[in-house]
Amino acid sequence: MPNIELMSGNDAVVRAAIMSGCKFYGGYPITPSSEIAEGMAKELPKVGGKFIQMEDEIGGIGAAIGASLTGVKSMTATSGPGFSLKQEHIGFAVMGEIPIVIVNVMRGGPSTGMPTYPSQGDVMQARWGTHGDHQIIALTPCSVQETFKLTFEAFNLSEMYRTPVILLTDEIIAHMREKVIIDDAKNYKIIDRVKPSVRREQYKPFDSKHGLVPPLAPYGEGYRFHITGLTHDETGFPSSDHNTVEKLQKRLRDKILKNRKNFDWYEERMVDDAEIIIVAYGSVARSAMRAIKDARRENIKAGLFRPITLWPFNHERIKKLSKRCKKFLVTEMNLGQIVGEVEKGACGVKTKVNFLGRANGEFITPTEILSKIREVMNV
Amino acid sequence: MRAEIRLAGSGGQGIILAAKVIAEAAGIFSELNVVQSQIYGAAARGELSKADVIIDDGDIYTLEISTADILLCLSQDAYNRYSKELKEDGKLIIDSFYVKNYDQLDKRILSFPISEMSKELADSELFSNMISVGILTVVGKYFSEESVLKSVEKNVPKNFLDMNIKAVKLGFERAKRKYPEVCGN
Amino acid sequence: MFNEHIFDYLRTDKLPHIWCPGCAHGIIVGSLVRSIEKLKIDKNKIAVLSGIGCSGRTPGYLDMNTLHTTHGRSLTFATGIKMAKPELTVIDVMGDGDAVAIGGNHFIHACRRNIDIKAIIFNNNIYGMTGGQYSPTTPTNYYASTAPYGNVETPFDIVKLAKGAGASFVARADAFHIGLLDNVIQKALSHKGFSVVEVMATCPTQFGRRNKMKEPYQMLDFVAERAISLKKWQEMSEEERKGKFPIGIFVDEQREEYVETYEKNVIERAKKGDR
Repeated sequence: MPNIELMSGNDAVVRAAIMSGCKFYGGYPITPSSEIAEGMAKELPKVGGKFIQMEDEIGGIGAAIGASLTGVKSMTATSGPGFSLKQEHIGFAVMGEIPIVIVNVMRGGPSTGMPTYPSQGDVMQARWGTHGDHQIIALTPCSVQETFKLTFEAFNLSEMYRTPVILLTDEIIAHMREKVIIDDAKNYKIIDRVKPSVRREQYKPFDSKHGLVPPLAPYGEGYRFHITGLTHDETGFPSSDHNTVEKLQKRLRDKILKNRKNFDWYEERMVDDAEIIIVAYGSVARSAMRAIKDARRENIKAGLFRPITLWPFNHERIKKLSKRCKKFLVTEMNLGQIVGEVEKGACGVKTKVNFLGRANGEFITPTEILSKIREVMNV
Repeated sequence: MRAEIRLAGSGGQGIILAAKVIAEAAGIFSELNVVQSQIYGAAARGELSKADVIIDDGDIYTLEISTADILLCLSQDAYNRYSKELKEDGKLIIDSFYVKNYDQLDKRILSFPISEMSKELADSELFSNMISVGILTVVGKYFSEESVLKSVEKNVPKNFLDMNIKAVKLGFERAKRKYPEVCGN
Repeated sequence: MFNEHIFDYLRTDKLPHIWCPGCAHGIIVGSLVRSIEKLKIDKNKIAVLSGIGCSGRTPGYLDMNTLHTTHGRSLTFATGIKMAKPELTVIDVMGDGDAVAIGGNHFIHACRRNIDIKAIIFNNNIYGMTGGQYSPTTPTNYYASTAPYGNVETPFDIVKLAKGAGASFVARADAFHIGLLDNVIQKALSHKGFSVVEVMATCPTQFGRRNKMKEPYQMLDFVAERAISLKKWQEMSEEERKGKFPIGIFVDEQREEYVETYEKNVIERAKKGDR
């Protein structure tokens, strides 16, 4: 029987992580994500899992990656400054193809910024924070219910594609309490890691014969393989042979991009006849939903495009929409990040991309969005 | 129907628990939608503490309160800070023991000696929050008395349940008696 | 005595190793493999980690579960592995830069937790792979590519650091006194708790060349002549100790191990709802 509970976004992450089968959390306390660490410290041991508060943020994600290599679902959570510190290890998980979920509760920045105020300033950092070319999956919820759902998806995607997945929430979603419908665990799709099908002595951790995502064997079960942050061949040993590296880089890219249709999630509202389409995500999308309704009452044909999968960004969808509408209005709690992606998608079309954003810790309200819609539509 | 409720007072007065009780009375025991948020990190005793509850029978898109329908002020600081952010037809509930300087002509103000009532009830101010919940329930009528009692049962520690229930009921009764035109059935 | 069974623990197809002629790293790896073989530890149940630098290449040569991590952070990965799969013997090979420069914080906290990880520190007093920059263990007044006028810093004493931070097994050996090296590595592998073995190594290429010891034997002499057995060390005066270091076992205590304590004090209580 589904159960209805009132919980915060951070609580929802904890509940869904445990239900997803997460058995390890390594982290470091930081506002406004600490309730996730506190919740995991309490809940994990009840299911035989383990929690550790490491000496720093880098250690938190390092421990989680280590645990993942033994075959257990692992996660870490952080915010702003902590997310900056974790970047090198996110790159390690990309290169080593080690599944892990990283929750980043966005707060005001740069630097210590505004620890208790919301922001969406880490969107580009989620995409490009670690050095080098790489693909990343980042999901962004606009409600506590969706935070709950996307936590499951984050674990599933990380296991399916052997990749770090970032759940990008914000201070508002993380701390507000809303109703969440929680179904029985058996009614959720939970994907576990695929074990290798070959004999132990034949196992290669990066063998492209098995498709874009080679199975990852757990440590300690006789496979005895090597993983390095260096570029490597299919056996996992270092290689700087240009052809080998080219093949690796392409597979790392393709395993995300060619599978994108499986997790290309977005929501559209009233876009069919829309003259102006608002692009908003996370908590700001809630304000945008109100604003388009109010605009419609004033006979302004407004619609909403809300990316749920923020990375990889769906430029193609923006391109399609851009042929339909006259204007875009991108609104986000930063000084312009996703707006650039929308411009990229709408490139070569006449549709103008407008922007409403700020990074002072103040939430963007429906009234403001509505005024901006009026301004942009000259009414 | 959309109702914006703001509870404000000093850290340690149980504002957050009161908000949670109200939010669950509406969201869990009355099938309404609800968004509850609070000032983060004001747990230290004496600091200004604030919690918001938005109740709606439809989806909630506006996540912040601009002007409240019901405002509870348990301290002078809370009154000074938030009393301006009240709707014209809103209601402002004050603890007259702590809020001494207020606009006597403001018809929206409903005044109760909440902390005195708590002391009379249990020789402690600890139950001011639940007396406030009781008052707020009958002032707002967004959810039933029964659902708020269920929510209290779910959210307060078992060994203090009886006293908390008494406090909520005291809130119901006193409000109905003092302001029957607002709080009557 | 040469023991051919050590090949069972090596990825012989990855040899020869990348280390320079005269480098002592191979001596330490040899000792580690001999010790594992002697203790008959199942290689399927060993995880070997490393950081970045010359020592970081060690796991690649060992036929076990191996992980070449980031610079200085290998202990964090090791912590996750040990917690999630305590039945594994977790060996973490670090250089001096890994252990006490960029990873110094992880090192002292792993000591404090007393988590059952064997930390083998290859201390060659220099950043070898990156070109001979001074490290936190480069002796004062010695030359490095970033200390062209001589090093003005005071080096860390890794044994004292580990001891002060609470490791339950702390030893120092060197690449010359092989008997002691084998002995302390075996003891570390058998010890339950955080075990630190600092091995004084050599780098003729980057340290030796800059400090008038470009021949490998000169570097090995440099280590051998300064290494003093703990017993003898205790009888020496401050004056006699100058420029030398003691070798031997400094701490060997049985203390509650982190993962066992977590399982007993946290998981059992949580499952009982005891809070």
